[in-house]
Formats: sequence, C-alpha cells, structure tokens
Amino acid sequence: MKKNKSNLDEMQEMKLLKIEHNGCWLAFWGLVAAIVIQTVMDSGDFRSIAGECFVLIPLSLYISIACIRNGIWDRKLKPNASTNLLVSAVAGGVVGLMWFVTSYRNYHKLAGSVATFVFMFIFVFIPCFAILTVTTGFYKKRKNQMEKQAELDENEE
Amino acid sequence: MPKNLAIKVARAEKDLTQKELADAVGVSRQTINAIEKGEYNPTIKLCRKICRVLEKSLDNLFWEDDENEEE
Repeated sequence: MKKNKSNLDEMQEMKLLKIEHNGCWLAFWGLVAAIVIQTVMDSGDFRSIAGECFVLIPLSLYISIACIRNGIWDRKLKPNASTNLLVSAVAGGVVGLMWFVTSYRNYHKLAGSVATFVFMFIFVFIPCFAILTVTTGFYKKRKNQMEKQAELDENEE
Repeated sequence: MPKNLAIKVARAEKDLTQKELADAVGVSRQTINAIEKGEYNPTIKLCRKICRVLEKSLDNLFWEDDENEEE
C-alpha cells in the first residue's frame, strides 16, 4: 500500500513539530494553572478539578512512560536524589501554599493555615519523592538496557 | 534507511568505540548506534562534528547512492 505523501517538506515538518511541542506544554501548564486557581477559588473541591485531572494525568503518564522507554530523563535536571529532593520540596511547597491560601480564606486562622501548609507539604513531598525515586530507578535500568543493546549491536557486526 | 557502514569503518580505522566517538562529538552512545544502524538521520551539524572527529569528508561518510536514497 502506498504511504500517504505529506504536504510538508522537512523544514515545515520541523516547524510543525515545534508548534505541536509548544502547544503540548501550553496545554500542560494551562491545566496545572486551572487546577491551582480552581482549588484556591472553590476551597479544594475535587469535583471542580476532576475534568482537568482526567486530561492531565494521562498526559503526564504518557510523557513519563514514553521518555523512560526511550532512555530520556530531562534536558537540565539530573536523575539523582538531591534533584529529586529539591523537585519534591518545590511541589510540596506549591501545593502547601495553595492550601494555606484556601484555608486562610475560609477560616482566617493563621496557625491553622500554617498547620495545613505543613500537612499538605508533607502529604505531597513524601509520595512525590518516592515516585521520583522509583522512576529514576526505571530510567537508569532502561538506560543500561539500551547501553547493553548498543554494545551487542556494535560487537555483532 | 540503509545502514551507515562508512562511519563504522572510519571509526574502526581510528580505533574508536561508539562510546568514544559519542563522547568526542557530545552525543549519547545510543545516537551513534542509531546512526550506524540507519535508524536516525543526524542533523548537518552533527554530521560535520562526526566528520571532523573521524577526519573524513561529508561525502565519505554520508553520501548515499541513488538506489539507497529514500524519499
């Protein structure tokens, strides 16, 4: 069967990939922003962010799995414990802050809001660090597999 | 895409492993492996780096006969 010929030349193809790349990250961060805003505005009602989560979770899973399968981690961040700690702390801090604002808006109690911040920080930090540690392990295992395959290919010819 | 045997031969002449060539041109070993297997079409920038390290011309390493060339 004859393949459908593309209407684009190679430069246009690269431009389209770039546009799609930008569109993907715009959608990703747009969904994150929508979740943050709705959580703060709707006092953390999950029903108001269910739709966004329904799109964001599969998108995140697809990107993570596809990257790990291809032995790719990140352009800048290193796959090590200190980076994982820092990223988890940032994630915990952002979520903690969201819930601090929500709590303070609802109850106007500073001590309670700080306690909410601390609780949510820990609630996000620990699973985030655990998931990053596990996925870092998967990434390293996959990279070693690819390295061994490349070695086999190099030796067999 | 056909295998790029010219790079493999030039690399062997220089007594370089895929890893050593990869480090010299600043890419991963998987990328050099994919280029040699014909699974990845490198940019002209990377082609030139490989040529410089292996001391070959672009024609020597990347020219394909008409019958091997794919649309």
